[in-house]
Amino acid sequence: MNKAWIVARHEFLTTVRRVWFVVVTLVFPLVFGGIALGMGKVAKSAVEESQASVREKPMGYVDDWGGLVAHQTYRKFAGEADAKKALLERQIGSYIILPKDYLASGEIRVATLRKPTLMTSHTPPLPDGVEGWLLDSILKTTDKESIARAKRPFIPRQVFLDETGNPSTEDQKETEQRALAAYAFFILLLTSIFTSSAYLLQGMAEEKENRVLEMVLSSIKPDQLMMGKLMGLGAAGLLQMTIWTLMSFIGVVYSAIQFVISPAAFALCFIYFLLGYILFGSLMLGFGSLGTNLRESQQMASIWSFIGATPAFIVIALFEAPQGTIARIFSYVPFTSPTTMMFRYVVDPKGTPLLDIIASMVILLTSTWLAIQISARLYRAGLLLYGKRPGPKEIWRWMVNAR
Amino acid sequence: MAAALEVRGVTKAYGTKVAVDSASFSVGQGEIFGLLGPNGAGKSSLIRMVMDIIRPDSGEIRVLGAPPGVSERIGYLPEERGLYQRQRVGDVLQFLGELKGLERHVAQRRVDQYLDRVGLLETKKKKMRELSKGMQQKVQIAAVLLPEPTLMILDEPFEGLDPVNRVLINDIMKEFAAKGATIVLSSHRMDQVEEMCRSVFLINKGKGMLSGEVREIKQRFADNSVLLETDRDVAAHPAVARTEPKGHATRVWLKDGEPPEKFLAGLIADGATVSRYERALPSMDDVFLKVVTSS
Repeated sequence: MNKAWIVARHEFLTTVRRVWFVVVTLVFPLVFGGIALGMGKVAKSAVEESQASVREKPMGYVDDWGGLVAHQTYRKFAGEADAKKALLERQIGSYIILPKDYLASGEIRVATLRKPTLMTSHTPPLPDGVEGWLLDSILKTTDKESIARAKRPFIPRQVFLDETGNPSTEDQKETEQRALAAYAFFILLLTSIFTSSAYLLQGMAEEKENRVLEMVLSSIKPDQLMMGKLMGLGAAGLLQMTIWTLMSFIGVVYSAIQFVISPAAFALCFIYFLLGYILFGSLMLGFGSLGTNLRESQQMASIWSFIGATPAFIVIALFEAPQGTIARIFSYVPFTSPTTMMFRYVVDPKGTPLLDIIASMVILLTSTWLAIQISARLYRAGLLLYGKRPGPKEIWRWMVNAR
Repeated sequence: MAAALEVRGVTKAYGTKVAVDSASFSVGQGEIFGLLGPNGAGKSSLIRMVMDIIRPDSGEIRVLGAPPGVSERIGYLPEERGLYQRQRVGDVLQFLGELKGLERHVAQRRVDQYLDRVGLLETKKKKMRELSKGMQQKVQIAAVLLPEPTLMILDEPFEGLDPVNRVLINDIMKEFAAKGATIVLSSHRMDQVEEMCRSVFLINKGKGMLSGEVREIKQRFADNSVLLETDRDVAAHPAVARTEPKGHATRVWLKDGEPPEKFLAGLIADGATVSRYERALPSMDDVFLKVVTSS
């Protein structure tokens, strides 16, 4: 049997038997799903909590403008001194002052006893009905229908036409589901690639620290060893991704995937996982081998993690314009193409040109091949490096020379 | 018969530091060969070149008649050694055995066989990190034995072993040599290796100082002294330069030009009882000191 397969089997079995692998594989989706669901609620409740002291008590107002209609709940004060006194005595939660030139300037002063916070300093915690009350006051001589229209000037009913001029069969709900699914796939792919690469790096650093490599290298060539590791841990990563995908079906994105994700998207996801994993895995292994322990190896390899994670910063742009210039550029750059291309396809399968998919794959394949060549050289040179870290000149020499 | 290992004019430098300088020696098949020298002499660099882990700058190496490379016929115990600490002893050996080209079932059988041979069969299911340093070293030696190699290259194999286990490993090596395996032992402890090796290559600061058969080297560096056990005090004998007690015997240095045979004949003729009389040979440590001092 090819020795790379022996290494692959050994790495696969060693990895999937690790307690951490099992824990991460089974617990991660639950934790991630929980965080995704809980984050919005937590943020909302935090804001509500910070505004509670204001909202729990009635609002006061001082009408220097003189045009406000009476309100059942809000308390009227003759001047600011009275309103402030009531606020300090906690009789009211806040007060507003409408100046004489309110109609011309539109400015009102809102006073509360709360401290400004990052989330709420620009949005004063006024009761929900204030805007409508002010509108009623401004337009009190106008008829009710006009007031109602002024309060809600338009109710959109969108019609999306396709290229033939007929209404599109894709509805808004489906688009939302696609976006959700694409985001889930994006996180899945990114996490799988980097989790698997991290296992590679950890295994390699352990071998270096345990001084086991020299014995192993008497039985197998470094290139075969590297390929074996990539295959074994790639298989472990695939297994992890498969489990996560299956769990996703019964999890957060169940409904989205059920309706909108085609088998082609799944196939594409797996292909991009494999290519992305081999690209990042080989680079992390090659550069990581230049460290003398796990910490140094992680430092040497971290640059690739940063580069690989950059699409996360343009997710909004990808949602809004999956076929836009930024999305296309990121699809051609090999370090960002696995996640970006897959994202584009899931969000907009019909609009994604086949040429883009083929071009990104060709570039990715070529880059992966190059990465393996360079990494194999670094790996060979770095494997038996104990005690001292090489300088940039030395690294460059290893990259361009076979041995 | 072709040599099992041939090293011809091999040189290796790391930057400006020359680790091995024009080293040449040859190891015959079925021989136990010693690669001797102090720490940092260049032994491990030489071995790594033999194992194709690093490449020489110049010179030629032939291993079992072929250029250096990965081979299933070579067993290697490196100086920088260790095993997968978080894995079970049996699994590690199985993996290393299969990497050496053994079929799965053969590897399984040999794992039991050689773990038993080094006295560690009961540790098969234990994790490596649960074993002591000495036990881990014996597991590594078992890993070298698994493929039953034609050529074994062992870099400092006795380092960290207690006397009992040193004897055990000595015996195992002799067994393999008796079956025809060639063994290259590298050590900075010359006393540990000289008794086992027929030939040695002595290296210091990268340069080959001596090579040849141990017996021949010792005779070449022997001075005019004998080990003597007798009932007479020979310190005042006219042929004796000086004496030194050596256990039950006395080491007697004869004056220059005094033949040992004539000295013995004189003692017997004088009626002395001689229970031991032999030519005193220097240890390899003595030889090494002499060579280094004279160079």
